[in-house]
Amino acid sequence: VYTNMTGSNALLVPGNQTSAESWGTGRAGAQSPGVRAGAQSPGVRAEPMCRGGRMFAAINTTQKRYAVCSALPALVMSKGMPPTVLLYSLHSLNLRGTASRILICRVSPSSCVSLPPRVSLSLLVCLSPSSCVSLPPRVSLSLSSSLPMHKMTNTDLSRILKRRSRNKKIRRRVLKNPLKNLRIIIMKVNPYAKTDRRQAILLHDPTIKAKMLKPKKLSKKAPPPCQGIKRLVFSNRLWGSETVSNKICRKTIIHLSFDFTSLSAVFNSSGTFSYNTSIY
Amino acid sequence: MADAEKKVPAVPESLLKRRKAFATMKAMRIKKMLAEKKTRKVTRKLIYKRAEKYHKEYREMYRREIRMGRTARKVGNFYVPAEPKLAFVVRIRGINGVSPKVRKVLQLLRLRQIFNGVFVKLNKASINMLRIAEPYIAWGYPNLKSVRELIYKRGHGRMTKQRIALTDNALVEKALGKYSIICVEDLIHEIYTVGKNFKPANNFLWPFKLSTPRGGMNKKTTHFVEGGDAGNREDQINRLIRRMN
Repeated sequence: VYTNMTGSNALLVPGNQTSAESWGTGRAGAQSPGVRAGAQSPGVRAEPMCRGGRMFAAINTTQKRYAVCSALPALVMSKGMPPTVLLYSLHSLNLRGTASRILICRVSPSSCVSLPPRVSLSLLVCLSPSSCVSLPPRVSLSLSSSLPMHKMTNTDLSRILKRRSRNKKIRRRVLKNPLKNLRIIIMKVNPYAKTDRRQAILLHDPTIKAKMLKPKKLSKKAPPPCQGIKRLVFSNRLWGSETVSNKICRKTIIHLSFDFTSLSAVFNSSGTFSYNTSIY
Repeated sequence: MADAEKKVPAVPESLLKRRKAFATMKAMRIKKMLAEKKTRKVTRKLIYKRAEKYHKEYREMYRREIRMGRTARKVGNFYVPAEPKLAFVVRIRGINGVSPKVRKVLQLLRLRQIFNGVFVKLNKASINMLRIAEPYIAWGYPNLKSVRELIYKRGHGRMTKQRIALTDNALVEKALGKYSIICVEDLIHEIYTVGKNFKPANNFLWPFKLSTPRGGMNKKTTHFVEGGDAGNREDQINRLIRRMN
């Protein structure tokens, strides 16, 4: 009722534009078709907040009740987890301090009936004693427990669990460009990309290959002159390069993280693969 | 509550049942995971081998053309390379004021948006289609690098009518497994060499949504040979793709 009057869009929430992602997991409320304000939609068509309706049209009490009860789970979902709904009957007037997550609504027996059968896992329904009395027996079967406890029915649980797992799959990461991130290609998509890239590098830069083939003694002296050697940056098949100072040359080679055990087979024939081990 | 008096056994049956079901489900799940892991290892090796094979194949194709040319010229002959089988077509004009024939052809080519691109197998029929839509498209013969980069960077597949990014070989396998295309490299190979299963492979690929060409276009409204952009630009399409990808 309150929401209807203030013209918030909560009523239009069930089944409308919210995306799964913005709501997170476990939002059974908006997604279960039973919660859709089905009873009210046709009636509310000419009402405020709907397109083509007037501003302050009259809203019938029953419609108000229907509206509230149907919108309850959706509203409650949109406020956050786990909200508390205090249902109190017309007789009990005591309102405790209302936290932002607590929706208080007045419940009369008739409106309780129209509570959607699928009450969500995260709804904490506190029934004040007086309202318990006024609950019709039919309703109490579905909200099947005593005072403040989480309520849910079996059907609900399995739905929610399914939702949770399904929602996880739907959420997706930002795409990374495989042309720039070699890891993505190698790890996921093309295991051959690593060797491919390695071969290409060896092919393109003879200085590296020569460096591979140099004998071990050079490690004792100052690092070999590497003006020609550039730091390798993997980007697009033609690796961009920056010249670095001599000192850093060796380090940059290490960053290539070649799989030297497989390369050593190549250099074995020339009998000078000992240099490989010196880097590591 | 009214029915708080109901008698309940020590451990409710439903709970027992659920526990048992969960236990069996978990056991099954673990077994399935192990089996999946094994098959994944095997397929990964297979994918490696295939990619290696394709790498060789592409190199051979490339060298073959060169070799044929050289041997021909050595003897004073001429080598005429085969006509290209693959084209990449990009729509370069918008959607307003399009004549109906052209509109239909562009729809058939799946070029419903400006700067959408598709691969097209070249035969008499499709070449005629491209001729009809000529003022609206730029097309040419993509090289291997273009094909690879397009599919890696902008490749999305059509799975259950959704546009899903090709981040995993499993997606490709699911859609095209029955054509023995199990990884992105297979897909690239099928497209580039226009194999037997080009149609399903190409159809699986959602039309590429390319960027506006970096550095601009020359003149959309005239043909490439006139200094514009439309129509067949043969090899030069690769330069355009570099700028649009």
